Amino acid sequence: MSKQIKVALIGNPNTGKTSIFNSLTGLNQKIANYPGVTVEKKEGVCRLSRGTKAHIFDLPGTYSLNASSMDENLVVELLLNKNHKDFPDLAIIVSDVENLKRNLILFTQVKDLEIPTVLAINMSDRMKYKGIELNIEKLEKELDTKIILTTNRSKEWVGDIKNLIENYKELSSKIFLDTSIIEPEYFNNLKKIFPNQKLYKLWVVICQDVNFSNVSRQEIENTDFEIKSKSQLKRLQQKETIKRYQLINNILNEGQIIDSSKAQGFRAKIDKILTHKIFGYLIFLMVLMAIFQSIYEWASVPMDLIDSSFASLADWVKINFPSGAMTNLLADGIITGVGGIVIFIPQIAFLFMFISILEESGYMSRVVFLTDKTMQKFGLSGKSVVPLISGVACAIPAIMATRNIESWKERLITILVTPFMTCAARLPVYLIIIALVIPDEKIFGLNYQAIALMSLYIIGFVTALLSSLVLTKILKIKKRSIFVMEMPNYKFPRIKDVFYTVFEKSKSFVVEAGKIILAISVILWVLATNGIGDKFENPRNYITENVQEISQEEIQTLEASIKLESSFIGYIGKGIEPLFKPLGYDWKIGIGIITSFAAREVFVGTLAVIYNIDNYDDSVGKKEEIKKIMARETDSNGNKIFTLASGISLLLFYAFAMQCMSTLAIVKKETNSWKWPILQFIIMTALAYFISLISFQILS
Amino acid sequence: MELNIQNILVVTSLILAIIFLVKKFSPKKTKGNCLNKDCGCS
Amino acid sequence: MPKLSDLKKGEKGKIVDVSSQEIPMKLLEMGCLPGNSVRLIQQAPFQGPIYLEVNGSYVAIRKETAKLIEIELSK
Repeated sequence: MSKQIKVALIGNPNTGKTSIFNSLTGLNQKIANYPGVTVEKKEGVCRLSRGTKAHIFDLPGTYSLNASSMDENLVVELLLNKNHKDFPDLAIIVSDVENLKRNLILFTQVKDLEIPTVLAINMSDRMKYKGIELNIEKLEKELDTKIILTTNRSKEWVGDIKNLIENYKELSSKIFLDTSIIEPEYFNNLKKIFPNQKLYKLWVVICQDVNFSNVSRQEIENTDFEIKSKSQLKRLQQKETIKRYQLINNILNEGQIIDSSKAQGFRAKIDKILTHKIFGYLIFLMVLMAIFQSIYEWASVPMDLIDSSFASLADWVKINFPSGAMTNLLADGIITGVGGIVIFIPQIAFLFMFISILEESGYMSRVVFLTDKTMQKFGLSGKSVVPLISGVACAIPAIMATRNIESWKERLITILVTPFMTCAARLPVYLIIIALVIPDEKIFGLNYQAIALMSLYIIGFVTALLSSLVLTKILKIKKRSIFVMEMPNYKFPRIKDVFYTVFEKSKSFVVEAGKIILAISVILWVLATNGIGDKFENPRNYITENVQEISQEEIQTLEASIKLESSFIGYIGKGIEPLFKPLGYDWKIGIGIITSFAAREVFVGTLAVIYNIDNYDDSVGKKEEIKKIMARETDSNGNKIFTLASGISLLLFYAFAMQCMSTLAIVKKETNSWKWPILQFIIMTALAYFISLISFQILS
Repeated sequence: MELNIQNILVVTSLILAIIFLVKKFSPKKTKGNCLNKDCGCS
Repeated sequence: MPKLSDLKKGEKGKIVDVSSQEIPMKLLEMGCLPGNSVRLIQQAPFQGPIYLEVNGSYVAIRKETAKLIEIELSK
């Protein structure tokens, strides 16, 4: 096997690191979590000449090696640990041409770790327009590195980078700044005690809160070495930063010319409108409404297509496969169950697309800026807006997006309330129930069904805000008011990058949910088609109606429903029915709710499987739409199951209940304690039960 | 239930499904990083 | 001595001193260091965060943090 070169992509946030990553790897990438922490690990393969491959790691954006968040810790941890399996052979530091000065701080720090380093200056096509001129030769010499000018406009640079990766052994790994000049006495002392360690590496370890496997803090603290207090360390870190800036400024004075008169026209103009104290908020509202509107408008075409394809697929399997238990499982259990979730891919993809555009364009930071004060009133941070908006797609990435909230209290509250936001998984449930119980009529040109859906989104958001208000009062955590956010440049999101994000996120959503739904469908189907006892074996003997008077078809339907009621699932359902009766649900909905605790969208799949078996009709040979079957459902007294009262109670239940194991798992990881996910589960579910109970009792 | 290939397949998928769900939702050990503290910039 | 929080929209100043103990490291790394000039671009409503240009970086911080940075007004 040829050797694989490991490359770390490192850079400040918003430098277009991901574009470079996509250009180098194409779709050969996978997103995984680093073990134990929920930091996304993006890894891709880049093919070089002569069959060699480079593994590219897209590390989280960081401003420096003075790690202050989990994401940044990860970068530091990787770069310090030579034994780490992903320890890079070389690092590519991606920096933004418009802010070289700041980007070079990180560059020089990585260089001081004696890792071979390439400097990629991104968005170089904007140089002229911004009035920037670079003397590459001079910079390469002074910074002792290779520089590649990269851009989204052309691809020429890709070959150059690949060349450098291939010949990484020729890159310089000399340090940039002699660490000991920060404070000679202290550092020379350090050098004496650890003669075998690299000085800068030692310094980074001393400053961090994390342990690194080969030089541990303890080891340092155990020696008779003079330990500095936290504030002394901070002063030294500040000194280091100033020193680095001095050196960088000297280099840039010679290697970079900026004509500042050209600089900031576009940005200033847009900022004037988007952060305006009135227009800013109006525009934000309009953007949100436009997003929701287009999700429903655009997604309906592919959704109908998927719907009919799955119905015909199930029919086709029934006709063409040898008849038997497995074929029935495939058609009634698996295809029906999985189809119930696949249909929502278009809406989910659109949602991910809009969120990715908002973030990539730089607009999201303006929203954070505008809303910080308001959110603080509710105990949140402006930065909570990003998780809350992403929570409309899925709470899992949303909770991961809370990581850049500096204050632990604000972050914890954001994590706890984000699941109230109406996530994509609730959508299937909402849509089917609304279609059943809310009339498809208009008032003042507005569709009742659309209003109902809109209200559910608002209920989710308002509940999230109100609960944060309550939580701020209850939680006894000291709060520090820290908030530092870069306001990135505006840029047109690159279509390719947006596409990759949407593709990756939708894929993982569908695959993750799909696996669970698949497994649950199988189990449900088996439970629903098997049973014991005479009632299950000979349902005909238990038909109460006079068999002579009704048609053959009706007899079949009655038989099927008696059989289902006396199957295993029927017994379980009847057992839990008393719990759900006060909310207006029958035992089948009860089963749907129970299975939904794995993931909400399982509800529709579950009902699809249960009702399908109940209404199984070989003579027609065509599957009915699940909606029609549900609309027909009646209880033993002939009353409709899905009425306005039970429907609304069900909608509210799904709005409030914490029915997503994956979210709970993420909360556990992010808060590092079982306490929060358990509390979250109990409180949200109890609230859901209580509110549904009241609403059903009032409405019925 | 008689023994035929279709029934065997169904039972196999059932077992696989149960194993998958149990594995998926059994709590795993995790390593914490950012404990109860302000772990943003400090 | 005027503080960064006293700056009005469009005004410029030069950083004189930062009380480094309470200031987040990230802000220092962005160039919020003595000697650098700073300009207030926008002020969010209701005493919300301020949006600054400092040392070529654009950054938003809360008023509480801005109070910890001493500046010298410049024309």
